Amino acid sequence: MGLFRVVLALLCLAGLSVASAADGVILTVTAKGCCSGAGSQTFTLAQLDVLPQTTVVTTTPWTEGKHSYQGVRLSELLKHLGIQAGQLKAHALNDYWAVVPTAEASQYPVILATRQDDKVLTRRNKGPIFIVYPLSDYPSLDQEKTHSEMVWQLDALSAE
Amino acid sequence: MVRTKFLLLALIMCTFLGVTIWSTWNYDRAFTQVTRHTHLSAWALAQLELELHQFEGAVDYYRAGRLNQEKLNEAYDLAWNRLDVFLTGREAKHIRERFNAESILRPFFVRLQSYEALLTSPHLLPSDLEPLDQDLHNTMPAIRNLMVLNFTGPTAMRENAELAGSSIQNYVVLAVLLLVGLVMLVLLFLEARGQQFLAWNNPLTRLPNRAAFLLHLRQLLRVAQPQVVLCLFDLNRFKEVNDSLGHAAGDRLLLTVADKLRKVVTEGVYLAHIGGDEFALVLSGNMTQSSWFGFTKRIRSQLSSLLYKADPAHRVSVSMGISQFPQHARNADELLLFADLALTAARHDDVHHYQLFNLKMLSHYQRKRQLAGELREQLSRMADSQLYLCYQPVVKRHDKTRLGAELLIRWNHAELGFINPLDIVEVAEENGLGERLGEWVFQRMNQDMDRLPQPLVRRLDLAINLSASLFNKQLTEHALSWLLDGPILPGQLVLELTETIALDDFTMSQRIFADLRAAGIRIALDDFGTGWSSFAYLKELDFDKLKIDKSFIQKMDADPRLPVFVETITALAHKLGVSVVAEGVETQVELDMVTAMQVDEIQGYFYARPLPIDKFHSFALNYLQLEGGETAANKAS
Repeated sequence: MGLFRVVLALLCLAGLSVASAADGVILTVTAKGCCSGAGSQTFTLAQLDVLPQTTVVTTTPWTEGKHSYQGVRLSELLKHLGIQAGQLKAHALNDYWAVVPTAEASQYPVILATRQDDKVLTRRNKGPIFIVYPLSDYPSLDQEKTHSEMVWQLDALSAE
Repeated sequence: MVRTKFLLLALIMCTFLGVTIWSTWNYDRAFTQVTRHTHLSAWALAQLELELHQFEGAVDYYRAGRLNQEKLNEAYDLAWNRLDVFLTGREAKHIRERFNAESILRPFFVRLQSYEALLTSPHLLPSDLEPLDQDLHNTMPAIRNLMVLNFTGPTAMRENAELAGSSIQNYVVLAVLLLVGLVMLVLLFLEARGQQFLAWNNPLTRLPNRAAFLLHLRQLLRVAQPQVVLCLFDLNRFKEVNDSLGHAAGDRLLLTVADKLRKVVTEGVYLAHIGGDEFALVLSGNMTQSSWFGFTKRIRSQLSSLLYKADPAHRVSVSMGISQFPQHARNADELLLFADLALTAARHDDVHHYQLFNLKMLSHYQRKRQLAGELREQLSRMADSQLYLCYQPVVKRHDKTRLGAELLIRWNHAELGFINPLDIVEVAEENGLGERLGEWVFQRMNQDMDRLPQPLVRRLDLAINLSASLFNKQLTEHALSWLLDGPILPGQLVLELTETIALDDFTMSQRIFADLRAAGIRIALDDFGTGWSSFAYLKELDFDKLKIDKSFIQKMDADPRLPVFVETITALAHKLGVSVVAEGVETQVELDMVTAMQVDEIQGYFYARPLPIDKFHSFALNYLQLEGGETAANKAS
């Protein structure tokens, strides 16, 4: 992990920060006993793109009009990693965090959006990952609690 | 009253609905204010300040050489994202639109974006950030200012005041609802109490009603009592007050009576208003025979004088019937029944209108009840009935070829012997059997006549007494249909009517008379001279015959005044074209006298008593000088 940080710093110094969005680690998932016993796994955008993609078209309280969001379903990712926790702590770059119930994630198409209207999400636009709930398709979800769970600039998920 | 109540209830419901809707709306408004406007916008503003502050720190660190460009860019991106979110979404819309927030932050966002090329440049020098640093230092106080204004400014204060006000309003609303609920409860209580009162009290006099009275009586007798006296009384001819002076006058009279009675109620006396004009006094406790006797007598005389004054026409009087426990009755039901019987007897007691129950009344009542049941049964039979008809010949002075007869009902009761015909009619009328009895008489007459030889039957004129219930619009129709089954023609039938049949409606009576006459049936006025208004009847209605009551005929030779009546009535009747029958002629002297007075027909023991059909057959054969033996024998076999 330390080595990785060094590499990342070097890359940054080399002025490859834009490339890092595509190549660098954008998500770290931590869960006890997951990931073939490693306890955690990191993902680059490319690695996330390999997973089945889901598209959600919705409005959000922080955007104008409807947008199309694309990314892996949270439940899909959890299945992929063999995580069966009841809830996840979603952590953001700005140190915001929220607890996301996995039941909701399997009941609704909750995605870890990496693209908005086919454009890769950047940090300036809630990237690299934005947890998107289908608010427009399920109006019952359009409430403050859900809003608080729609973490943007997500960089880590951990199961406790 | 009902209308007012309904309106009040509707008003209460409207108030409830209105207050509820208003309260909900108010609460929602306050809630929205707290959550969306205060809570969310405060969060958005705080995050904005925090992340811009962090970016400002990152710039300072970078310039101090303590932060790399990647971290600087990350802070830049976060600030960018935050400003974008703050200026775009609906979450921050409320705060954006206040305190010129948007006009401060949008230009700042544009300026921030302009540093993009610089910040991502691989040749970024710490000194290049001087303008950005300055810009941030200049803008941060304005954002701080927004924070302060949002929390402590007049708008925030007003919102807080509104919230506090809304809380007070909610208390007021609750208080109003509580009050309305209380009013409804009170109304409900009053209504229930009113209904309860009406269930047990007479609405006019507010005295306990029949149900309350019965309950009281039963409860009273459940506990051993040395003596209970039940005194029932009602107002004779009270209906006439209602009819002539109006129901308001009737109600006033009842109220006067009730007030008077209330004054006599002392301990041990229970007063109830158990029917239209019927009251009850229950006397219990230790009182001597003479004391309650005096008490009831006193009440009766007080009421009598009160009624005498109250009714200008002095028609209304009071009847009182009394029964005692345990001397007469063994329980409440008997006590009531016995008092009722005494009251009935009192009504018929024209002098005192006051009767104490005695066993004769009970046996009379029981006999009547027994007779009613048995009469119904006897009327359903024909051949083996205990009822039969007797025929009393009526001789025509001017036409010896015809014979009249009055049909009289007889009941040879298996246990009680012969029942008084008047009782039979009374029992029938009281039990709704009047028409059935009439029909039975016709049927039996048909049966009797079928047994007689036809030549004889053709020479008979038969008179049937009408009971009150037969005298109605369908009389002719009924009589004709009943005659259809027998040999008697309408022309041979005479219907006898007494004055006791109330002819309230002369117009209707005249119509019935016209119908009968059109059918060929004759009508006789029976017992003439005994009623109150014989002449009124004679004046208003077209009778064919008039039967002078036997009280005028008998002892005619002893009382010189009687022949005057008979002679005059006969003369009057003849002038009116009405033929005259003398009833009750028993002696040769009487016969001679009525014959001299030109009476047309004669009925009485002098010729024959009422005869059973076989004896009447013989009498008729003999009287009409008919050789009917053979035919009669044929018929009889």
